[in-house]
Amino acid sequence: MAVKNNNNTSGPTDDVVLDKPLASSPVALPEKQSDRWTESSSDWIAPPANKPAAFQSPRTAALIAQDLSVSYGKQHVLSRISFTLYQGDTLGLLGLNGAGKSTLLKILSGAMAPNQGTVKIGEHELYENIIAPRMKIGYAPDKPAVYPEFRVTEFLHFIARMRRLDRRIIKSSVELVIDRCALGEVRNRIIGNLSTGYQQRVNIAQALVHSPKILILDEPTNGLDPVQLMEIRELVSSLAPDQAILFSSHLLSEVNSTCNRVMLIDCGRQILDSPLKVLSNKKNNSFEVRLAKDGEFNLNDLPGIAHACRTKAGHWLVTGDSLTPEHLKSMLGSRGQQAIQINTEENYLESIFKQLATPAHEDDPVAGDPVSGDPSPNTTDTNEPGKKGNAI
Amino acid sequence: MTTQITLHELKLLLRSPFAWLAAGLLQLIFGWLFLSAVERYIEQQAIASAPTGGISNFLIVNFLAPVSIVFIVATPLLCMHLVAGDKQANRFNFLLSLPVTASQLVVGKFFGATIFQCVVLMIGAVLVTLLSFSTTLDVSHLMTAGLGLVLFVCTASALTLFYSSFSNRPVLAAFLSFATLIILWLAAATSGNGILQFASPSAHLHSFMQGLLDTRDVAYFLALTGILLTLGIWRVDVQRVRNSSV
Repeated sequence: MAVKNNNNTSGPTDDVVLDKPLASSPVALPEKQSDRWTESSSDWIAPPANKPAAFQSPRTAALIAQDLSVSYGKQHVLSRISFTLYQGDTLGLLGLNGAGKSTLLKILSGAMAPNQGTVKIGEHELYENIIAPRMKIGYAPDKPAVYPEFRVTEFLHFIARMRRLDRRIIKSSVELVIDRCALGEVRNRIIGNLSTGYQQRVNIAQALVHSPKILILDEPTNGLDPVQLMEIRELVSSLAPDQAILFSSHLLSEVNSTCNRVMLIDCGRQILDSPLKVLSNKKNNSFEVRLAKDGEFNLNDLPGIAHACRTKAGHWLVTGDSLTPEHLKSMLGSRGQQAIQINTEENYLESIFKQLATPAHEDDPVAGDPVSGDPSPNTTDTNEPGKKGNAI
Repeated sequence: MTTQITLHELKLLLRSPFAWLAAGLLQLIFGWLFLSAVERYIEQQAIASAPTGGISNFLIVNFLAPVSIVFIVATPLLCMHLVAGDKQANRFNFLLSLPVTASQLVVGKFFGATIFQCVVLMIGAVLVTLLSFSTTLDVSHLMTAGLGLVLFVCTASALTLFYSSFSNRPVLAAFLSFATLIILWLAAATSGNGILQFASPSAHLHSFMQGLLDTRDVAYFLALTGILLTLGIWRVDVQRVRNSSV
């Protein structure tokens, strides 16, 4: 399974997309790649790579984020985030509190321009054209952006008008979204008097009222009880085929149950971006590997490895479809590496996430880039994410 | 879209207990000022020393002029939430994610707040029109003074909106706006013909109160309101498009 560049704009396969090449990747879309794209109405169609033409099923790229960076003074909040969101994707944006999830979602929703990088929706650049791209986005912030003085239907009508929905269909759209979000029994109530859970539903309903092509939900299950949580998960799952959904959470279980693709960010850096099924551990094929010596060697370069992540000096987490300890050991041996220990991991994604939650390793003098698994020491300034202290 | 935002802002004000309280208090103050002005006029008439210029002039000096001072306090309080309130309630980023330009957002909010204040002002003006049943009023003089008040309210609203766009604390925006307006009012009252006199809205309002419709004064209010709104639009645009927290 090949490791692909994040800047590759062709349709996703089951390959893990790493942001390893970001450090040297060009900011602009490579011309040859963009030439392959065809425009269908307002969206781009990108044929998936690595498949014979006869079997290619083009997927629509709903949103393309390129090299997004945000910094406040010397503090880097986001660092060169790139990915493509396709129609039908439910991308779970996973990260600890303060990882940069909300900032990324604000940028993608059109509320805050990045210091560097571009967001393309259809043929429009999000921050060069204010109207057209934003009409395709539905954004529900983490804290419900509602007017507590308004009644539910009144608020949804207002948002529908603000989203420039055709006047003739506003009423039916509002009715539909009220039905979809199970707001019927509170439709005429003042929003400020509703429970947190209902306010969250109103928050999601306003994002859905214009049937956006891209739905951005920032921790939509915040403040919900278990029943409401299940309902929201079901709602998101039901929307998935028609829309591209970007869904942030700090709960792994939530992403596991709702999304078909996962992106992990930590300290503003992209740790991984992969279809969830690649990372799921159906065949006990995830391992923690301890190498005899730590050096420039990168386990992502090995064939059969879907994703590898260096956790500390000489320690790696690896996963692959048909990976076995013997296979791994022999591959390492062929590259002159010796594995001291290979332990089976219960769940690859969970293991990485656990590592994120673990305080930085003080005893790791050569902590490399956790994003790419590149073990070369990171010498960026101390405020930059990915510095030694932030290494997984 | 601007109309939608204006209507929305008006609805917000009409549902705000604070706005109703402020409007009620303003009517109370208007009524008190009006009645005391009329009472004084009747007293002076009774001792056969009727003020020169008739009741219209007397009302302008003793009722409409003080009303402009009342709005130095009222406008900042009624407009402080325009942008800062949305920031405080975590709605501002959401508003920026809507397919609405910064100018539509700012101008819509400005009109919403200004229309509300003008309605409050017009209800106060009903008191003056009641006098027309018993006496003859200098309508053109009163209309000119009223126009001056409306222009003053527009400028004060634009100033508060401008400060509101810089802060996420409505009270701070109100305080800065009030401080600016009061300093300029004092400057107009105490200085001669200096720059402060020219810059002060109160000084330009004075000619309206005298019944003089000077196009320079009209242009001053319109230009100042336009400049402040442009700065407010720029500020909102900077926050969305240039990612600046300036």
